[in-house]
Amino acid sequence: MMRGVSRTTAIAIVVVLAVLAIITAILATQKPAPPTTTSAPPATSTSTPPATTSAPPTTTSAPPQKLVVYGPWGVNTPEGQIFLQLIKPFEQQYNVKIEYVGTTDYGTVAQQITSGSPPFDVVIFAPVGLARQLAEGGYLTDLTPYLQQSGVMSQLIPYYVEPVNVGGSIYGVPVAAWSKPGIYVYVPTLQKYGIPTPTEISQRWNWGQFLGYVQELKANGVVPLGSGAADQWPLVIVFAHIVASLGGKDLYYAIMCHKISYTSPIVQQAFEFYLSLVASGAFGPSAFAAGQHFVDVYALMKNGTVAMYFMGDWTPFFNKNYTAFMPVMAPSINPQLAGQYFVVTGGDWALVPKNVPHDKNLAIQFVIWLASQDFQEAVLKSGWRAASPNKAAMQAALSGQISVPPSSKVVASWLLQFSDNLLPDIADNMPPQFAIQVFWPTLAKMISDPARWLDYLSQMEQLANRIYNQTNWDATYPLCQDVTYTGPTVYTGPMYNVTAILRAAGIPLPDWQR
Amino acid sequence: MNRLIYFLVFSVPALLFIFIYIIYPLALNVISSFTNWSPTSYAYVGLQNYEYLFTDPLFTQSLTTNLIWLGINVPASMFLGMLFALLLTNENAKGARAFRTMVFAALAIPPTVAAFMFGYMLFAANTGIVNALLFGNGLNVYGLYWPGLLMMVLITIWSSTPLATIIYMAGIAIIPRSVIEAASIDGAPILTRFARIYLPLLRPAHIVSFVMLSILTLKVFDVVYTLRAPGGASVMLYYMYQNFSYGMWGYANTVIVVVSAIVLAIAIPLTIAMFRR
Repeated sequence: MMRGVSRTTAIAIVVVLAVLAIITAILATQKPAPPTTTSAPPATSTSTPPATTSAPPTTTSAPPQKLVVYGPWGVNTPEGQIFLQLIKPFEQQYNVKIEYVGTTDYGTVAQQITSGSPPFDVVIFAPVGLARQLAEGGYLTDLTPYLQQSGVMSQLIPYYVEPVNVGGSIYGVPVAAWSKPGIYVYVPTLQKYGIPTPTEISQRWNWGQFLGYVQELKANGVVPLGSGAADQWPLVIVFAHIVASLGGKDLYYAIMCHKISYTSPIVQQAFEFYLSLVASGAFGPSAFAAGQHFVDVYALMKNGTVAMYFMGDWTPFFNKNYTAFMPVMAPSINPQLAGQYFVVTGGDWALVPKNVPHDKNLAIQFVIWLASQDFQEAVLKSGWRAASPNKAAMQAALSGQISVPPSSKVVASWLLQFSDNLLPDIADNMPPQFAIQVFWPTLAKMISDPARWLDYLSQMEQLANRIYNQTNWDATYPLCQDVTYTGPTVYTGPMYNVTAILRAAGIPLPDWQR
Repeated sequence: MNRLIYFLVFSVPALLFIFIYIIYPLALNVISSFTNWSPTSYAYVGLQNYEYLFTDPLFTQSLTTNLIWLGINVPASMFLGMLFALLLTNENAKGARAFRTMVFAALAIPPTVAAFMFGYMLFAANTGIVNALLFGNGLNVYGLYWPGLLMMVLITIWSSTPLATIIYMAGIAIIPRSVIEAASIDGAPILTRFARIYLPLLRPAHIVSFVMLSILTLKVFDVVYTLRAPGGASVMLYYMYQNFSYGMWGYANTVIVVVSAIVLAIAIPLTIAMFRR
């Protein structure tokens, strides 16, 4: 220690500073009060909400205003590029320059919002559970009066609005509706081998026919199904359609909300259908299937290596081909549900934080415009999405008022025809730590190591009990609050040779089936 | 009094810097780890996060992966680093400069890029050269735990060996030349020289490289993030990041505190041992 300053004095100074730092830290970690709104009136205000439908400013001489928008699509990805292109009319009409940043780092985005000074005016957000938490915490702008006043509210399909409805107020605007309608096939490959591409309920394959086509394609040296297993989430689409075809909405919601055990017979049967694809070689060799990222499959389809893919409605857009990449209905399993079809669909929501760095009214106008018929029709015409949260835009697409790609039209017709059978993404509506750390990886593990599937289900059940309890999912997650499962515990309909396929591949069956 | 003023003027800025950038964030982390901090809540929950963490199979699995990684990466990188350092400091070695450039090039490549190189260009089935040549595209690095983990360990061995090499080169440089020359004149074989001279006299280099490589290995994140935990081989910081992403900020801070404690538990005794010498 320095000569002349006693050790005690020096230590005392250091300790004082340390204590000060810790006290500051304690004070800083007190939950900050949600920021108070600094611009537009709240929903309860008796004054008229800002005129979001008023004529846009036409002046072009003034320097453009700026809005910073964060969204889930990377700037240089096809989706980011089309988004930037489609928002140009807003920029021109309102003399605004939109600075777009692509990010899926939702944890950071959420922290920026709760800090009260986010660097963006609008964020387009996919994890709806986190968006709801932000709304409940008072960090988001209530958009209800603006949606109502602009007339957009009446055009929105309630299914896409409900997830962001917190206590009767709407905190997000659905700007994009994605759907995972079933299987996307590469038509030239299927045509080459004379395999039909059913788009009507009456033509739908059953599981047995589907496995037959799988064998036919394999015999011709084609890998029947792409997996996207390196990204894991594409496998959820396969499983979701199996569950819906096997047990309908009841079983689907029961699994999503963990109202039924992963070790119960009917859930095991759902996994058996999934494993029958693995066991029959539908995904190709395990190393090949496990290493595919979701976009890799598109190239494999185009070069004829892979024929089909359980994927979302962005598939034709990614490939800029709306006739070769066509949706077909996922195969039916349960004959009692044969007349019904289930489409998995959800949204991305635009949120406006309470405090924004630029003009909040302009930010609100922008999000309302994103949900408007004009923008949504432009989305459908571009082929980026086949579904829209705006009913007027969907009807315009189906009636032929606007021209949409053939592949989009098929999906749009299913969405309207089976509007009572729309399903939320099964994994997106589980507790996220369960979905991403347990559910996705388990589906992927079953591709590489199917013989251990019963162990995986037991482990998944233990973790589900733990995580659903910890998050109090039953009580807190709106889609799960009234869910109970009263359906059959065992599926007794046709199994389409699935158990025999598993036995032949050396995959063990549960005790009750042995 | 003047001395005290001098002390304050010269020391307090440095101390403040340490408090602002090290102690204050660390205190924030520790305090938050006792809360249920999320977008909707911030309440003291005592040891609840820690109780959950230590009984959490996902955390245990991540910790195990970290420890296996540590157990392979640290000795392998130290061994290779020492070997390369001995080769590169040998004046008679031909092509040492070119070899040195090659070794250090790995240090300049970011782990994310290295992960892409190894993950997609070398080991992925159908696109990876190594997988095609050695395993006929049958090596399942993305679907199975061990192949996935070993691929990632290989990436870190590749990227951390140059660091060990630099440390050992510095260690070799301070070994008195007279000792090495005397051993040569006495005709001591290479292995004897290695075992009796280099190995004991490089003790400080062993400790420094062990500590640094251990810390680097426990902090590994980017490779796992880039390759998305192939075969389920997640690590503690990846687990923390995922929890952070879901808005479970209090719990994510608990993971940070535990990771920091493990790193410090390894680093502090070894650092003390090094300075004692």
